[in-house]
Amino acid sequence: MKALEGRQISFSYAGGKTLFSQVNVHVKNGECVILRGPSGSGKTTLCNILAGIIPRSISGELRGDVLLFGENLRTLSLATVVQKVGILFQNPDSQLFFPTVEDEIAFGPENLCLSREEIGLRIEQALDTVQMGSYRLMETETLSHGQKQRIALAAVLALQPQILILDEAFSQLDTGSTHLVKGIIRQQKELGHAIFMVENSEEHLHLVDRVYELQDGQTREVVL
Amino acid sequence: MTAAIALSDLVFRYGRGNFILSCPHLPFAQGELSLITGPNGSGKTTLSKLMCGILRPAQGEVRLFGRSAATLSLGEIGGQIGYLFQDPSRQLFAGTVWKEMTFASDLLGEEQTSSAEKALELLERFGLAALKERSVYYLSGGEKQRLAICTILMGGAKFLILDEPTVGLDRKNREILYGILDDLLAEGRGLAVITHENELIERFSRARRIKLENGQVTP
Amino acid sequence: MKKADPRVKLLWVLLCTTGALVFFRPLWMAGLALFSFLGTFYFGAHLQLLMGRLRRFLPLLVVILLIHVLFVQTGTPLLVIRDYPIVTSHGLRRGAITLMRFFVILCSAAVMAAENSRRVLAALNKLKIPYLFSFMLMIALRFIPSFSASFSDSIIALQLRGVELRKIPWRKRLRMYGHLLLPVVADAVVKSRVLAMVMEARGFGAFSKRTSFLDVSMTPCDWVLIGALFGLGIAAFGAYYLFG
Repeated sequence: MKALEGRQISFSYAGGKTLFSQVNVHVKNGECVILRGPSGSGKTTLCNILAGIIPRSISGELRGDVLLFGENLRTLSLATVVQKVGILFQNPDSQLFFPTVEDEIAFGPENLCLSREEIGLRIEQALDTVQMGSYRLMETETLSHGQKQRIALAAVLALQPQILILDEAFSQLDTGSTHLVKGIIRQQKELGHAIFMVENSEEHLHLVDRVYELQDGQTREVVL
Repeated sequence: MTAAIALSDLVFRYGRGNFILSCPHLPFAQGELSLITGPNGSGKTTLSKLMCGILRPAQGEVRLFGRSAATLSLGEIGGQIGYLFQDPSRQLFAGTVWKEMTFASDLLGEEQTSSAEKALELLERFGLAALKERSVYYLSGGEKQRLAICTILMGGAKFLILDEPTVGLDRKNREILYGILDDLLAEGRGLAVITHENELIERFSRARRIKLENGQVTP
Repeated sequence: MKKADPRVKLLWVLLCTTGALVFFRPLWMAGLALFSFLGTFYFGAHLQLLMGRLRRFLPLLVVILLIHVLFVQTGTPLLVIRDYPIVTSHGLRRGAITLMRFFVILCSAAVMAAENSRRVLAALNKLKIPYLFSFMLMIALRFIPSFSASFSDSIIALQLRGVELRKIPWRKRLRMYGHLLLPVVADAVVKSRVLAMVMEARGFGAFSKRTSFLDVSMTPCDWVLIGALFGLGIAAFGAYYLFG
């Protein structure tokens, strides 16, 4: 089944030229797909569209449909969307804004009005997944870059999405942290979750089932 | 020959935390590329900032072209040592590409014709001449980086320190960057590049490797 | 040292800062300064740390004090130069009051800085302050150091282009600082955009209400303190109004 599907997506920012046109991408359950392309081709924009951030938070002219497990994203509430698809951005410093690790991971579940007991459980599970259980009460400022990105990932996982979008999530990580995050991705795949990654490095291809290339406003699937 | 940068028995301590960086005798020569590697949080950026006088050590000495960094202002250091931030946006503030290139010389009241000639030459060399009138905020990541390097070279720096220059660059801009590094070395400038990327390390496999682990420098 | 509920601290800060604005008598201000100082100990604030961080503003404080001292001409002249009173008793008094006022504000800031901002958010939530407002305030305070670092990087980058700041004429320097603020503003715009995206991606605004994982609850000791602070506040301001 297609967990995430973008059908005939065309987009231009307000007052700008068309960034891409009639783009088709999809990710199945348990699949990991990479999107590559030159700088400025619209990879991050496409990620934001697939996660529903565009047009909700960022305006522009969007045509086409995004389907999450067959349901059109436009018809889904924010609460439903964030429990189906989670997105991790490149810079962890921009994604952490609470004093402690626990506060950071609790933010998402709090927004969904989950009970305190459930929130506590999700914090524990998310920290176990990223192997940072002992950091629960630490200040986020004292963490290294790689640790921050893992906490940002834990904050996303606390919402238990079945689709993960990773927008150049490895680019600022060292080898050790990259290895750990790759392990988490592998684990998510084994759980049957769908992974959509934006990466230009060739180092991550062994994780990947399919590759899309976004160039000159069009996508094409590339044979590995 | 005098080392461009010479670190001697450095100890640096961050104010609040327990992090301590220590470095034994470590020289950096001109015409040589040094790769400063290590995991996130090991102190690479701290070391690079100590090397160019942005940070001052608690103990030990930093000498720049034979002179103690403690006796030099950042302005004096800047004429010899250049620093490229991981985010080049932080060092671009003049509005357009051309204004960026002439910003420092305008402030210093330098002779306009010669600085304009030098600026144009650098922009042409780095493929930015066609973008002279473009706002720096509309440049791509790779273009910003090249412009930041140009502004450093306008100051006459003979040794450049680059902090994670490949982060966020696509394949095409990475290749351009590698070419720039080769050219700068060929001109006899010294380079120290902070990186955690295997690809860059493999590309410059003959470069000197300086490893950092938990604030300890291993030359 | 006992961890007081953030609402107790908020009330204490409100009393101190209101007193700092209202009191114009030296003895009353001295009493308030002492009260503030003792409060920093009780609430476990790191006053010394904060004073260390604000050391760079000391010249500005000195200038403000001098303005207060030198521009008040009433009272007994204490320092006269060529029949012109430079320092008067009223001027000194005004300077002392200003200094103590700054000290009270510093103590209040130290107390709030030592508190976990999430606990403050939870406390404001309990006081029915809309979460959005208190969250915005927390975020703004959190990002100030990062913008300060961004500005600092710009100044460093400019100097490392071979520019000696002290050799730049003042008029050009002001224009230069204006330019250096551009990356800070650009950084702020980018950060706020990403922050909005991250918040929404984690479901912020999905429902009109939200749970607070962190719970702050008042202990009997906190209630006693609240009562005492209220009583003290009413007595102090009442007495100042009637007899001050």
